Amino acid sequence: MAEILAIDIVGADYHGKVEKNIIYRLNRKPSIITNYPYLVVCEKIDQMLSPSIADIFVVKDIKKINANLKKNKVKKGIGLEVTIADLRKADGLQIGKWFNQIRGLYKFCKSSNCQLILSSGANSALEMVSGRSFDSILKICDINPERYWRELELWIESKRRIRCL
Amino acid sequence: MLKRRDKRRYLALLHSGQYDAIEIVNLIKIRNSELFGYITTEKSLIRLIQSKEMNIIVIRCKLEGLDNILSTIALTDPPIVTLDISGTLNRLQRRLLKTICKD
Repeated sequence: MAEILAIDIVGADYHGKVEKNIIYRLNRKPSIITNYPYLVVCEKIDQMLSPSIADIFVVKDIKKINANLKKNKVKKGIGLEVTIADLRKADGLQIGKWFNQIRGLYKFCKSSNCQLILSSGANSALEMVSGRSFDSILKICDINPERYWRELELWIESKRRIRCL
Repeated sequence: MLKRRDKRRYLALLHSGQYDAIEIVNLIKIRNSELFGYITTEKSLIRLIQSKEMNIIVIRCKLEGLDNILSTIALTDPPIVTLDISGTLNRLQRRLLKTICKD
């Protein structure tokens, strides 16, 4: 499905089976060396701020998090993930604000060496978002899609290089 | 004076089957109006072209409204996936067939 939607690599939870072109999302760093690529994902702000090994912080409420991020020092190179899935039920006003918040978050990421990760947050194939739709959303947020994808690719590569695969 | 036809794009969409094709197009139109306004939606000329089996429908819109439509589709509930986009219906059908056969 990802191939049809023009997405090269997807992030998914690890269930013991290793597949091609998937980066696994784990809650904590595995104690042993793995034969699969992974990223450590956290959802709590204190987990992200402590000198932890979290690669991605899932931003649930951008407005709340913006103030927290600006107050505290964010670990350089961390990925700030925003999901689209929650927005499906939001009204036009909330979505309008969200677009503006994403614009602000992208600027913040640029200034603090973080990586914005726009994610579908899909739980099934039907909830996935095509690459072209991502591009459109990025354009509305005044983010150059080509530049965004290039930066994301470099970020993923840098994280992969750190891991022993 | 040279009369030029507006450029259009054909989109293949996958849906859950919860709604029929006409309802899906109406859902997209309503959501697009909510996000980008009624005038923009009307100007985009969103039309249902085909309703295929396997919960796939083909819609058409004007090229200038494509970015809005694509983001609307990503933000619609129930979820709809854009499978492919093409400038001609023939090419879209050919590519869709290729993709379905491959899977």
